[in-house]
This record gives sequence, C-alpha cells and structure tokens, in this order.
Amino acid sequence: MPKALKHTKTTVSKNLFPVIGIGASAGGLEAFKKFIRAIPQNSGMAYILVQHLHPEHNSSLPEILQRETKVKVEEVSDNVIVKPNRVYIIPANKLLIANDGVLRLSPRPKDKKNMPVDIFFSSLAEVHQNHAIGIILSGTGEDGTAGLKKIKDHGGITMAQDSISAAFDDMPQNAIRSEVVDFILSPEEMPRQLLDLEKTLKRIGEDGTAALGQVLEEESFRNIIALLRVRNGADFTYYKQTTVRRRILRRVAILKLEKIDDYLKYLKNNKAEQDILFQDLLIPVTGFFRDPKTFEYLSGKVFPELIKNIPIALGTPNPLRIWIAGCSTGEEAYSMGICLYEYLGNKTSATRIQIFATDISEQSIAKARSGIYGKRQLEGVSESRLQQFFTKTDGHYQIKKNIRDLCVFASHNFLKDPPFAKIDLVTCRNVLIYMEPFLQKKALTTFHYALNEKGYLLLGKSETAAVASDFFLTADSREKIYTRKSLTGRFMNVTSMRKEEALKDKDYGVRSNERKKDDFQKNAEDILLSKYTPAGVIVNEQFDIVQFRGSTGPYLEPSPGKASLNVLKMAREGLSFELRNGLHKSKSSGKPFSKGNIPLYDGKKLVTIDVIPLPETIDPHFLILFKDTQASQSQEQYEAAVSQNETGNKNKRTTDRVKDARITQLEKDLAQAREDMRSIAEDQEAANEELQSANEELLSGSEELQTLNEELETSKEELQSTNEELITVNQELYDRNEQLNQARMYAEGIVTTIHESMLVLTADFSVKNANNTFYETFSLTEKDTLGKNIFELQNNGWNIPDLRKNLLKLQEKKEKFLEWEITYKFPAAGERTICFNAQPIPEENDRHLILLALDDITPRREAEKIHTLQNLKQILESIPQITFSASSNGGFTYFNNFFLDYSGVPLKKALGSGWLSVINADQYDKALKAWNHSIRTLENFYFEFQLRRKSDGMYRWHLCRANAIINDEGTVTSWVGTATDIDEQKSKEKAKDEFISMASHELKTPITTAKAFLQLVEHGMDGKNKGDAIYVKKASGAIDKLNNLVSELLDVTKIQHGILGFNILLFNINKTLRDVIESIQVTDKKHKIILSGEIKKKVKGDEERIKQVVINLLTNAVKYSPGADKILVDILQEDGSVKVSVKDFGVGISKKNLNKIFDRYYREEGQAGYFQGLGIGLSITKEIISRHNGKIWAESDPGKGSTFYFTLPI
Amino acid sequence: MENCILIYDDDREILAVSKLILEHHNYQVETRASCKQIIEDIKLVKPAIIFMDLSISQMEGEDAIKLIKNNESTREIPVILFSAFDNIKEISIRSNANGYLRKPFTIAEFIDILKQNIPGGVCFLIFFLNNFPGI
Repeated sequence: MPKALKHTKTTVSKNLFPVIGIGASAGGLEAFKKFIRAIPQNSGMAYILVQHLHPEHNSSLPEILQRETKVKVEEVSDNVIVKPNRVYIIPANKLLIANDGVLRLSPRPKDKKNMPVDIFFSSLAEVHQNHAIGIILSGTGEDGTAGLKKIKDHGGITMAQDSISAAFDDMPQNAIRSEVVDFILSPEEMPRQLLDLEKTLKRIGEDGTAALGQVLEEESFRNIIALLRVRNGADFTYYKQTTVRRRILRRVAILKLEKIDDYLKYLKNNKAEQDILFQDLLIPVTGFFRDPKTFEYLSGKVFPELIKNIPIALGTPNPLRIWIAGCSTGEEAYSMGICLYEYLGNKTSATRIQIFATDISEQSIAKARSGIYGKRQLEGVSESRLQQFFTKTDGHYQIKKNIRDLCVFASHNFLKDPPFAKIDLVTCRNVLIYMEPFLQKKALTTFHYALNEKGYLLLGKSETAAVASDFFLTADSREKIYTRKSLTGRFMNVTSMRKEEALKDKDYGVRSNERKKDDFQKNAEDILLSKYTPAGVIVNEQFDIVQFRGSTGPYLEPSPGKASLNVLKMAREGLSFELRNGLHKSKSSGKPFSKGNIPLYDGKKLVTIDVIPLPETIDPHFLILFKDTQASQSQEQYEAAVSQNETGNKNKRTTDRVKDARITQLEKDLAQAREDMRSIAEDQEAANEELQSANEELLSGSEELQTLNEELETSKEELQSTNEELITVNQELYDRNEQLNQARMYAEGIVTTIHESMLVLTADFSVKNANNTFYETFSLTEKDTLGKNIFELQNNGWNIPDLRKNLLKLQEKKEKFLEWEITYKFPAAGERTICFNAQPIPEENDRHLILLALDDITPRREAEKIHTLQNLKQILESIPQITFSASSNGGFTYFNNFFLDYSGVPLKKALGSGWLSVINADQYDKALKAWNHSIRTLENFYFEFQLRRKSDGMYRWHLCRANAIINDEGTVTSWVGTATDIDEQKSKEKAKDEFISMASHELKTPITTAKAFLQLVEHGMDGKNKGDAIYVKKASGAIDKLNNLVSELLDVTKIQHGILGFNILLFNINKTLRDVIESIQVTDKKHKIILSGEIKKKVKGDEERIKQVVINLLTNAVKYSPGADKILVDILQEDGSVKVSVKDFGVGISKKNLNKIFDRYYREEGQAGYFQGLGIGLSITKEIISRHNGKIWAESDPGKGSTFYFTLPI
Repeated sequence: MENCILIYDDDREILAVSKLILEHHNYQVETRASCKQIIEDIKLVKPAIIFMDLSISQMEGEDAIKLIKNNESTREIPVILFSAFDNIKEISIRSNANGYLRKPFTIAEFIDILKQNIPGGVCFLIFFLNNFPGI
C-alpha cells in the first residue's frame, strides 16, 4: 500500500445507506453492464465501480454505461460526496479511496503492482463499516480478495461473480477460495440480493442506527410517557429510560400483549391501567430505618448542628423543618421522626419540628397518612422502638400520635411544584437514581433553593450531588450527606434543556454572590480597596481567576489560543513560574506565600507577589496580590555604577573585566537556567495538561460508573419491589396451601369417618385412594388395592361389565352418575347389592379423577324384597280375579285362593299341572303354545280361554294376561298374571253380532223380494212397452243402491264395534280386479275401464272385502268423471307389496281436501248436491285396507282427475 | 217329482217370487216356510236341488243343511245357501253346502247357480232313474 495512503486518517461515515464497491478487471465491463441493467432506479444504494483501466487510455466508461441504465452514472471527481441511487466510475490512472462519505482520488503510483480494488475496498470497509458491500466481477489476478476480507471483517457483505457467467473467473474464484465471499451469484442476480440485504440492514439497524421497528417502538414509548404526563401529571421523560421501559415492558408481559403499540392502545382506553403503570413506574420501595448507619450519622452529626442553630424555646418562630422528598408510604418520614424524637429525648416537646413528607403518588401518601403498617413492613424497626412508637391494632401496627403529629404528608411533585422553603434537612433517598442527570440537577437545584443557609441534604446510597457540585458540598461521602453551598439559591424551574446549558456556566453563581450594600463604611472600604490596595486577583482551586481587583494589566495578559482565565496562563512572562510555585505552596500549606523581586520585562520591573489563601470559604480560594518594587531604579544605579567603574578605574578594569566576564557568565548561566526552568515549567505544564485531560477522562469514567451504580441501585430497588411482590404472592400461596391442607384434612376426615366405602380412581380407573370402610367391606388391604385397576381387583373379581360401561360413560361425558344399583357376587364379600355414586373431580390438563362411593345396600334390599314379596302376595290375594305367578321358565309358583275356589283344584295340583284340568280342552293346546311363546320371547301373554267353574261346571270365558317381571340386569325373575272373567262381555258381544247380522238380513229380505219382482216384470215385458221398461230399470237401480247403502251402514256399524269380520285367504288379485271391472262395466257403458299390469304372486286377504274396495273406488271414479270416457286401473308389484291404482279423468279433488276424503261422512265440498252418497264409502275402504296392513291414498289434479292408490302386503 | 226345486225361506214373498221366476224358466218349484219336517219334505218332494235360507223359524238354516248332509238318503242332493248374510260364503263352506246365492239376487245369478248344480238332462235322467228304478 502506498505510504501516502496508509497514513490518511479515515473517518467513519454517517451515511446509513449501503455503499457497494464493485471491483472488475478483464471481462468486467460486460458483467457490470448486466449488473447495472438489473439495478432498479430507486434502490437506495450507491454503486462505485473500480475497474482496472489502462493508465494512458482515456476512458469513456461513464458514457458507455449510462446507455445501459437510468441510474445516474458519473465519473468520480475528487472529493465527490457519495449519494444513493448513483453509479460512480473510477477514472483512468487514479486510485480511489473512500473517506467519510466522500470519494478521493490520488495518482496511481507507477512502480507498484496495481491493486486499486483492494485499496478502495479497504477504505470502503473502514468508512462504511457494515453498510459496505463489496463485489468482485470478472477479471484476472487476485486484486480484491484482500479488500473483500477487510469488508467482511468490518461487518460488511461480500459477493463474487460465479465462474459460469464470468469471462475471466480468476479474480472472483481467488476471493471465493479465500473464503471471504458471502454470495456467489451471476451479475443479473446480484441487485435483487442487494435489495434484500438492504431491507435486512434497515431492519436490524445495527450500530445504533435506528431501525424502523425500533423507531416505532421508540415512538410508542414516548407516547406512553406522554399519555402519563397528560393523565397523571407526572413527566417521566427524563426518568431513566432503561428503568421506565423495563417497567412498561413488564406491564406488557403481565398483560400478555405482544407489542408496545398494543399496550399503548390498551393504555389509552384503560384508566385503571394508567394508574397501575403510574404506580409501577414509581417503584415504591422503602422501609423503616433504611441504611441504619445513615440515621446514626444523622443523630450523631447532623442533628446536633441543626439543633444548635435553633434557639430552644417554645413558640420560636423557627421550627426545625425537614423535608422528606419522595417519602413513598411514609416509612422514611416516620423513621426520621423517631430518630429525631430519640435524639431530642425530653426536649422534643420544646422543639418545634416539622417533617414535610411528600410524594408524587396519592396512593402512597394516603397510606403514609394512615400510618398503619403490617408486621413485614416493620422489619427495620427494633423491638423496643416498636413498643415505644407503635400501637398494635388487629394485627397491624399504627404509628403513635406523637410521631405522627411531627409529620405533614402532602402529594407533591418536587420537579414541578414549588418547593418548600427554609428547610433544614432535605432527604431524598433513591429517587434521583430513576432520573436522568438533567432531572437530577433540577431536583438538586430545587433542594438547594429549599434549604437554609446551613442546611443538609441527604441522598440515597448510590446517589451523589455531583451533577450540581456548585450547590452542595460533601459532608460525608459515605452516608451521602451534603451541605448547602452558600450560593444564592435560584429555584430552577427547568422545563427545557436550554436552561441546563445556562447552569453549566459555573462562574455564574459566584458572580451573583456580589451583593450591594447601602453602607457608607462599605463604600469607603470599596474606594480604599480600589485605589490603594495592590492589584490582584482571586483564583479558585483550579487557579482560574474568579475576580480581578485593581489594574492587573501589567501582570496579566490574555494568553493566545483558547480563551482562558487561568492565572498561570495569563501571567506575563517570568511571573508564571513564581505564581505556580507560590500557589502550590500556599495550597499545600494553607499559609500565605510571598515572593519579592521577581523580574518582569527583562528585569525592568521587579514584582512582589503575595498568595493568600482566603479563609472560611467553602471551596478553597486564593488571593493573589501583585506589588511593584522599585526595580528599575536600582537597575539603573547598578548600570551607572558599572559604567563609572569602567571609565574611572582602569586599575580595577582587569579585575572588573574578569568580574564582568564572571558576571556575564553568571548572567548567561542564570539566563540559561531560567530558560531551562521555563522549559521545564512548560513541560510540566504540558504534563499537567495531560494529567488534567487524564483526570477528565477519569472523571467521565467515574461518571459512567456513577451512572452504572445508579442503574444498579435502580435494578436493586426494582428487584426488591419484585421481591416484595413475590413475598406477598408467596404468603398468599402459603395461606392457600394452609387452606388446602385444612380442606384436605377435612375431606379426609369425612372420608374416613363415613360408613360408605369410598374410592378415588384415576382417569385410567386405577385406585388412587380408598377408605377403611372399603377395605373392611370387601376384605381388601391397601397393598392389594392402591394403584391397581379397579376391574382387576381380587383376580378380576371386580370386572363388572355394567360398572365399566357406566364409568366409561362418565369418563366420556364428565357427568356424574347417581344411585346406580347392582347386585353382584364379589369375590370376598359374596353377593352384595351395591349402590354406586360416582362423580368426576376435575384436575388440571382436562384430566379427571373419579370419586366413587359404594353403598352396600344389601341388607336394605333384602328386607325390601321380603317386604315387596309380601306386599305383592297381599295384592294378588285381594284382587277379585284369578291371579298367579310363574317362574322365569314358565313353571307356576303361585295361584291365589280366588282361583282355587273357582276351579276347586287344590294348590298343589294347580302348581303342578297348571290350567290343564280347568281349561276348555279344545283351547288347551293353543293356550299352551301361546304361553310358551311368551316365556321364550318375553312378550306379554294375552289369551282368551274358557275355564271351568266348579260350582256349576260351566266353562266361562276368561281373558288371561301375564307380564314378565324383569330386574335391573334385564333378566326375568318371574311372571305375574291375572285371568279375568269376561264371559258376560263375550255373550253380550255375541248377541250384538247376531243382532247386526239379523238386522242386515231383515233389511235385505224385502229388498230381495222387490228386486226379484222387478226382474220378473222386466223379463215379462220382453221388449214390449218401452216406457215401462225404463221405469222398471230405474226401480231396479234404486233397489241396488238401497242394497249397497244397507251394506255400507252395516259395515260402518261393524267397524264402530270393531267387529268387521275378515276371512283372510290367499287369492288371485288379478282375477279379482278383472271380475270387478267386468261387473262395473255391465252397468256403466260410458267409461271404458282399462286394466294394465299383472302380478304373479297371490295376495293374502279377504277377497270379498278387497272387491268391495275396488268397487268403491271404481264407482267413485265413474261417479266423479261424468264427462270422461275412460278409467285406468293398474296393478304393480313393488317391494313386499302390491300397488293398485284407479285413475279417473274427472273433477278432481282440491289439495286441502285430499286428506279429508277418507274421513267418515266426508263429502267433497261443493259437490254434495251434485253427487249422491253417504260419504262413508272411502272410510270403509280405508278401514279395510288398513286392516290388511296396507296403505291407501289419493293424488289429484283438480279439474283433470284423481288417482287412488292402495297397497297390500304380499 | 222330477226336476223339482225345493226352496226354504221364512219369507213368503221371497218364496212366491222365487217360485214365479223359476217356473217362468220351466222349473218345478216346491216351497216351504219351515224346516220342521225337512227330511220328510225332502223324501216327499224328492227335489233335484234345495235352496236354503239361513234363518228360518224352528231351525237354523245351517243346522238344516247339516241334517241333510248327515242323512244317508238326502246327502247327495245339492244344497244352495240362500241368504242376505254377509258371511254366507263362510257358512256355506262350513256347512258343506254346495253353493250360495247372495240376496238380493239377480235372475241371471239364480239360473246360473241352478244350471251349475243340475245341468239339464243328466240330472233329469238321474232323477228319473232314481225315482223310477223300475224302468
């Protein structure tokens, strides 16, 4: 690397956009063209091409490249500032380096190997750090590799052209082999990758550059603080941001929110959260007698001083005033009160003490005012103090009135509200640590203002008043006690940073110390001072002049360079050394120092300086007085004497000459020595300066440490506050645990005491717990039971299927089951009836335990059973009917006395043979068959038979019913039955049947006669007398109708009485239909009735009745389609049934009436007058079909016709 | 009496009209309103076919049929049940009747059933041979 470049100091650029350096050689132009073609116009990046160019050739690269892209291409001129969205090209025969966002050109050295890429990349790396991106395109040689490495080392990103696209891959490959390349791409692909990288860079925002997200977050934090300022009136802007953010983030975490932004939204609408955050930010960590040594120091050193200044007399106008700033919940204030009380002892009542305790938090103040503390909060209070200063009230301690009365609590923001005045002691412990130095300063100024002349300031352990060292002087650095410096207190109501600047001017305060007093004596003194006292200056410890007195011009002059008031710098030549000497001596000894005859202006003037340390100043100050001695005169005399000697005394000349020589020599020596001394002094000065700067560094280091210390203290307090919270939570947990324990003991007590067996099962039904009753009842031990699956207890003796079923159901639905009884033969306990109650007990993870209570109700059930049986027998006995019971296999076990009396059969015989000897022999087989059927199928037994009555030997009809008694397990335990005498009913029924038949017969007989005669008449006419023939025919028709009506009426009567008889046989329905159609066709010539379809199977039913149905449907079809000429009848076999349809093309039936037409006495509305009939035909039809287990329905299209369907099962 | 038809019915009108119809068709008809002496009647009339109403005084038609069918000498004579009862078919089967005629009837039905049971000359001949064994 050329030497000239090596020493160029590079400055890190503040540019925040990526700067891409591209190194290229042979074949690089083509690659670079491809590259820039792919660059978007607003990529936000700058591209700098370093191309190996021929030194003599005048390059026209920029023009060539500009044709390829819209991005501006320019040749680098010296000191050009790098801007984004530009392409920069190296000019020929130049070296390019980047510096502080500027490109510099230098001539290319002729002798050295040309490595412009390396050189440029190195500078790029240093200047743009991680925003530097290096790309090596096609080329020969190894230029660029070292440069890429540099870029990589500084956190930048590197790329190289892949060997496929590169015309000469020597340069990129070299870099790749050296493992300094992050991406190997073709030139076209590079821009896309660069854009991605740029986005990432923006996002990461390393090196303190604010990434977008961070900016937003920052904004959110600021907004939160602003919100608090508006809502709570407290400005946290200058609080330690780390702390504030930690507290905010803590709330965010507690609320399970993801982003600060979310929290801000939440906070905006939630007043409660604002208060919580506010309280949280205040970190109310405090305690009684925090740092006890501090209090000891107060008692030992501070209070005596303070009390000394107060005349102790009742009603003095000056009470002892103490301000506790940031008192939190009052502990500090009370501690102070106690401490003072103890110090003063019996003098307390005679001293007026006012302790002002203030805090920003209303809540804390309210707590403080109450003066009530829990035991835990009083840890710092010794037992004796507790006795003396607190009264115990229901578990809490309240501060006694005498201490309480000393304290005045107020909500007060000392950063904002006007401060208290004339305070003797301000304590503000661990408040400043939360604040930025600026706020600290403000606070300290406030305290300074508040304090009396000799007031004290007490700060927290890790706080200092260093930021306002002008105002406070350290009284005890260990206990952080400061005294007020005597400056005119200026309450600094700072609201902006500008005033802070003003405060930095340290001399300000001193000057303002000058006070004019209207006093002639003083005036006189002033005149004397100005006229007759020697000129002088007052300097401070740093030897900076703080005051000029009189005319100091002859002694002092402004030194060239930076303006300085340092007396040593201002001293005229020759004076500086002595001044330094004197000042140092005086400073170290504390005594005045005087030195006379100091030559000034080459000895023309002799000056005496006096350095007097000023007494009784807080900071050491020195008065320097300059006095002229009559040096010039003596010098002249001396010189005159010398010349006289020269002329007058030749004798002495030699001697004089020797002397002169000697003197000259001495003078020279002296001058030399002086010169040496001066240079030594200068060196020392320089060394001093260095020391000074070192000191400053140390100071700033110390400040940093201080900040760190404060930070640590803050963290400590936060931790303490968290710890307190944790302790509270822990206490709560402990209490809960205690409660839990009690609850458990309680539950256990219940479980062990109760008579019922109890089990707790886990989700997989293994026994988790069981009580003693359980072990006793089922002869089990803990060892065989616990942890075992309940169903596997006692060698699977507990595998009760229904129990398993119930438990699984419970498991599934999480529902308890109650009062479930089962009788089961348990392995050890034998057959027991157990009543189970189970209840799921929810556990975590959606798992459940099952509480299973087993109530052994065997004895109760047995007693009940006996009781029930007796009851049942009594009932069966008392019924005036035949009753009986039978076992599950059908064998008779009991007949009541009623039966025995009725039949005259003795019980024993009855139980053996059953009904055999009593039942009508014809019916016995059938009855037995039915009985066995019921026993087998558990269907209820229902049978009618005749039983012989012993008294008259008559067989009387009985209806016998028997039902199976089924227990919980679904098995039949017995049958219970009755037989009721229905003989009377039977005979009445029979009489009725007969009557109906008779009525039918009687009604039809005259019809028969009439019809027969009419037919005779008809036959007798033989076509003669046509008019009469028509009459006869009409009469005959009327007779037929009458006959039908009679039949229908009878049928209806029978249906009503449920005695419509059926004669069920297999018949050929095809034939039936044909017959019916034929017979209808005889009387109705108008319609052609067409039959379609045929079925193979025979139909089971009453053929006559089915005929009746078809006739009815067909006559209806005829009747209701007077205008039509055909009727379609269809028969169709369907799945398990035969479907017959009758379709007419008549008037049809409206939809709403379609369902009503099968009702009895219903007639189609509006047609009653037109069509005749009783309206019972279809209802009979329906009855017949339904009695055949078939269906009948109709479909209709009003005005177009209807179709009636019926089905019969086959 | 050859080719004679014997009709039992307690309704005299029915008997009269039946007699008229059948005589109109050249049948000889004897009618009785009571079944009191049925076997005697049959022996006297020697009918080719008997029409029996189901409910006639003194004796149930059904019982009367049984009586006929249980008697050796009358067993072969066809008996047609002749009634307005609905269950006439059932009864005819139960009582071993040779057929039934539902009241009210048409003349056609009446003649049909007659023809089915005494088909013309053969019947006549049988009657003839039976009644005149001497020929």
